[in-house]
Amino acid sequence: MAGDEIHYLYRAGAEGDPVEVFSGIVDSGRYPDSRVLQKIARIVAGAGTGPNRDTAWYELAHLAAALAQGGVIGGARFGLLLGQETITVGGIRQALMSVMTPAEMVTVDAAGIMIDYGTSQFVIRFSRMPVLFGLYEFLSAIDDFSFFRPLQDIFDMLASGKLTEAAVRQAASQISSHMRNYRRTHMAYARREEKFDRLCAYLNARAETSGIWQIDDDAVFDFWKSHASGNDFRTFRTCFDGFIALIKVMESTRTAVSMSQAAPIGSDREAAELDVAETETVVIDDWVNPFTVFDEEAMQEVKFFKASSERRPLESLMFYGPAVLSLPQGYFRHECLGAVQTAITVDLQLRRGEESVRQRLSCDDAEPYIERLATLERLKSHLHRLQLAALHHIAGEATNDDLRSAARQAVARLKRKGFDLEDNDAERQELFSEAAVTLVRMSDHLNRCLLQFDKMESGLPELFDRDRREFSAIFRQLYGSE
Amino acid sequence: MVTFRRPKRNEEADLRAAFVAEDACGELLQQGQPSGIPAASTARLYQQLLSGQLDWARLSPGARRTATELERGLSVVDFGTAIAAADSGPLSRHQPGCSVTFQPSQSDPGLTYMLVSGAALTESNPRNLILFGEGGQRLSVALPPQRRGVIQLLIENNGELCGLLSDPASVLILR
Repeated sequence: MAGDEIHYLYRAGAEGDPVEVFSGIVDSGRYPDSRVLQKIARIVAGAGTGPNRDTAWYELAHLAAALAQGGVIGGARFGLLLGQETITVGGIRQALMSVMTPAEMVTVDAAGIMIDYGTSQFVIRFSRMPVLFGLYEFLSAIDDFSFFRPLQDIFDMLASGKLTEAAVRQAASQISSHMRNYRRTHMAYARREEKFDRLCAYLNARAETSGIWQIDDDAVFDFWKSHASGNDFRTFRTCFDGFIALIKVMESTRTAVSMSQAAPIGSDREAAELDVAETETVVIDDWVNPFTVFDEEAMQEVKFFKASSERRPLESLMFYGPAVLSLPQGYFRHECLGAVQTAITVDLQLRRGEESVRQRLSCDDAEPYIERLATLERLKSHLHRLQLAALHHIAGEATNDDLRSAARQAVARLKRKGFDLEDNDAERQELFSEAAVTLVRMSDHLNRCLLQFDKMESGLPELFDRDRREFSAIFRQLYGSE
Repeated sequence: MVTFRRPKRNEEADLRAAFVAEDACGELLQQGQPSGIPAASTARLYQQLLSGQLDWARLSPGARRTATELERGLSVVDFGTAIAAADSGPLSRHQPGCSVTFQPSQSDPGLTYMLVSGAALTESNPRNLILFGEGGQRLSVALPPQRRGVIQLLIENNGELCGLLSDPASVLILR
């Protein structure tokens, strides 16, 4: 994906604020668990999981209410929410227990905070709090900190008078309302809505009288061919991303059918209430890019993947997750010929000259699909080796001799940073333990993809030749006279 | 290939909103680098304030306002703004347990004594007097040790400190 970083840099364009604020939070290094950052990003974009997209603001308002009841207001609230160097569940638990004073409505125990409103109760678990801390930080900084003061005022209202659930709901609603406007201003709603409308119109026309939307490789390719001359879907990758987003949304709507029949928010299980702190565990197909685990600071001790030969070829597959299985040819087009178009776009943006663009138009340098498949097969073996290496560090006596020996061999052969037969202290075991879980997820996903790709293997060379001619012809139309 | 029932008209609005969110989220997560200078993180602002390493001169107007609020949150006494007075000169300010008053120097007409007194000084030990001007200025003055419950400071009548103390819109804190 050479040049993608630059590509996205240009794509951000006028929608800078959420990206800048989010980047500020990422760059601060305060959130070592990148899954927390992923959740923050999803909630900020309005794609958060849970019964509805405003659940997180409701939780945040409950947290502020609990803090207010426990005497954590003003400077003490700043100290708690902003004062910790790094945000970890343990750190929050310790800090919160030390600053909260006993309050009639609030109970703090090892698992989290419970607020008793009399007729209902609300629980916020410590494990959820890093995300809430991050959301507070994000809200504080948006639009050059213009929501910082109003946010404090909203929270301060929860400290005055008798706390009621209605007051918390009102606070949450004020935050949601602000975020809705913020998204509308900064997240190019109109442009994205137009994208959705075009995809819908295309699929509706294709469905004709059947009433069934069929999203397949032909649809994506055909859609691109008919829309490439416009602005919104000029690149194949943009089309592919659009269809993947649509698939995810449609899939989650199917999931949401069962969720919509559930449960008011709360923690009274007997009353069949839904505990928002647990909702993320029940959402199906909430794919998180596994590479984010390997981006965590602690993981930098071990070189699991070489950037260009091992990580880059897997990056998209892991980013898109299971949705990519619906568009296998699209995946190869995205990776091999889509990369050429990205390179052309970057050439043009950086004004590298006509010759550079002209050379790319033929797509002669594009990576053949069959080579990409071979690379993925090789990386399947690499993931297997990494799993064995992880086993060496975490298995102890629980594994049979043959497997232990194979695991030792795998570590010995991986002659790179962090793979050391003798270095097996508790910290290293914990690191490999976390890596092992993620490596298994990656392997499962890659194996599922390869099962599908292998069925296409014999036809890949022909498909590549045909695609290369078609992409090249479109590129000449789009960029030939640049 | 994947198939879905064509959404009904009344379902389209929700789907459209979900699509926009998903599309925006993908862009946020794939963003390799920010489009400009990353915004200052609020937590880092706060931590730099705590450690005295905040470079106020480089802050955006919004970050400066926020840093002011955060620093007020760290104060021992927050006097806020003053009540406007008809007379010119530094304005006395009062909070429960603490007062800032002024007396002209008898020996030098160009100087004024600033006196900080009250029970708050014995409970905590403020080290700095900080003023925030309406125009975004921030002036911090190290306080000398208290004597018999009073901190005494001699200030120049035509200095920046006296100017800010004379402005009722300026915010005064002890930290």
